[in-house]
Amino acid sequence: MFNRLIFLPILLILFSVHLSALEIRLNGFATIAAGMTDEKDDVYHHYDDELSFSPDSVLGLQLDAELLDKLSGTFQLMACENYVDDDFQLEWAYLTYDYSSDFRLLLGRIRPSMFLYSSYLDVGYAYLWVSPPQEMYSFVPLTNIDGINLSYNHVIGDYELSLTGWLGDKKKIRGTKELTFKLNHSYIAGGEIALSHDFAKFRVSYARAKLTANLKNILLQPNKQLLSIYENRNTPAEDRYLLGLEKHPEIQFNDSLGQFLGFGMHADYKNIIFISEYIRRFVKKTAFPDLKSWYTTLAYRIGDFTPHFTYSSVKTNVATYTDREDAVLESVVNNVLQESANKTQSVTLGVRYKVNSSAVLKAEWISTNVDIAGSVQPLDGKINTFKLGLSIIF
Amino acid sequence: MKKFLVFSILFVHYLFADISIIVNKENTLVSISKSELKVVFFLKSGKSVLRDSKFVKYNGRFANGLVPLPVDIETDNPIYEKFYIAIATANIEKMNRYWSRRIFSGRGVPPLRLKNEQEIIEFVKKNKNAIGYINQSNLTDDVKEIFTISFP
Repeated sequence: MFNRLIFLPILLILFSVHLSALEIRLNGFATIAAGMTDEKDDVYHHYDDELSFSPDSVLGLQLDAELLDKLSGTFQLMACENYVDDDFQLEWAYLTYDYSSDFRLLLGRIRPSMFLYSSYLDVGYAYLWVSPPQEMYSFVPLTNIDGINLSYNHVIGDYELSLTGWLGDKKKIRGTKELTFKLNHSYIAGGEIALSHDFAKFRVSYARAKLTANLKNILLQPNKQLLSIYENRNTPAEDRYLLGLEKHPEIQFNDSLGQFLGFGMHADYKNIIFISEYIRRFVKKTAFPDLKSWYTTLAYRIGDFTPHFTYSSVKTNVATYTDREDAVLESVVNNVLQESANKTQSVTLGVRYKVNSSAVLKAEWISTNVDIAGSVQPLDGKINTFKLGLSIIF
Repeated sequence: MKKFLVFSILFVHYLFADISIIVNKENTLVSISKSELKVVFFLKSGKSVLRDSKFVKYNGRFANGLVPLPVDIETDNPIYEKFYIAIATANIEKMNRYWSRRIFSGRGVPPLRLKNEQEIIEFVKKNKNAIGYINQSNLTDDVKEIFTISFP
């Protein structure tokens, strides 16, 4: 990752020299985070029992250029350890057309605001934690889509109303070190309604998409042992298993309708900060479970210090399947279903310290009660995680 | 110690000096309210405040119909924080958070930030629709004052 960072200053200089005639703004954000847990290999938080610098560390650069009257371009380049293929990822690249002061059209690679913090998810400087609550933010892997975004903003007195709608698709998603697979989101459509006041913001969002994924290999791995029963028969176990998947298409995403509903609020009054979000996720016609997640955060600013407390929870609703003709297949299918059974809660205690006006230092301790039934790596029990992060903007 | 004294005097000077909201002399505008200032300087209705867009009353157009072009001062200048605390009870950190959210969510960049008050006066002098703020003690005949933020 870091060898490519050398090019950034060069890029910076080139841009500032050659494009200074145009109206160009270059801004950036970075978070350097380190953390460790008391578990040897904590696949839940992606940390282990030795201090490591990933995966919350991130570097982002954003270029805003005024191209023509009412037309501007935005590019956001990001480097972080979580990305699977590229060290740098073009997170955003879109053209903005300001139709009027109220209406704006964005065209290109955009970020759908499904969560309260979606649109600046990687800008650690803009929120309290080192990273937003895992129990919510890790369950919708859609950080950007390719398409259009139409927004309407209106200010009435001290209130600001914003309506946003987006349309697009996404061929590939960002994965994690542990899990990479292709997941296609097509016909993504969604929107957000937000009402904000000086010190409070309320929002509702909805999104839907057709999901298609090739999960065969991932589903195969955990059930290899179970499948060995078939090894002695005429059909090889894997083929048999794949036949089983065809018989039970519901355990794969195959043009399945996924829906998302989110509520969120943020209030910052005097020195008290209150944040809360609630989401539901449904995937129709698959056996993938419905998911419910929420968190609440309370913080109090004392000078440059902001201690905060968060309770977050995620819960899934898993279905069971019966196959009277094939008992082994039935247990395979059920095993697969159980993969996504999750009932996890976390308590986060942290403090954010303002170093200067563009840098904050954050420390937090997360106590997680994990209950994930998956057979790849069943997780059960308490995990303590400690994270330290420095976030800057420039 | 001497340095500190000079600094304190300067600081007190900045703390108590009134702020003048200035526009181009050709601008027919005679006054502006604090909430209108907020809309203008926070670019509340989006990026388009910087451009020719339709704004009435609360959404950016001056009362005389001109589209305002806000000009800001660099954030390390004490008058920056003083101004934003006065119009929106927002300190530098809060302003930085506000702008970082807007920039990185693609909702626009802050107004142009100039080095000092002299540059702001120059900018306002040159641009018919410009609006800026300076310490009242630095007010010159080159610009027109339309509002004073008084400090006790």
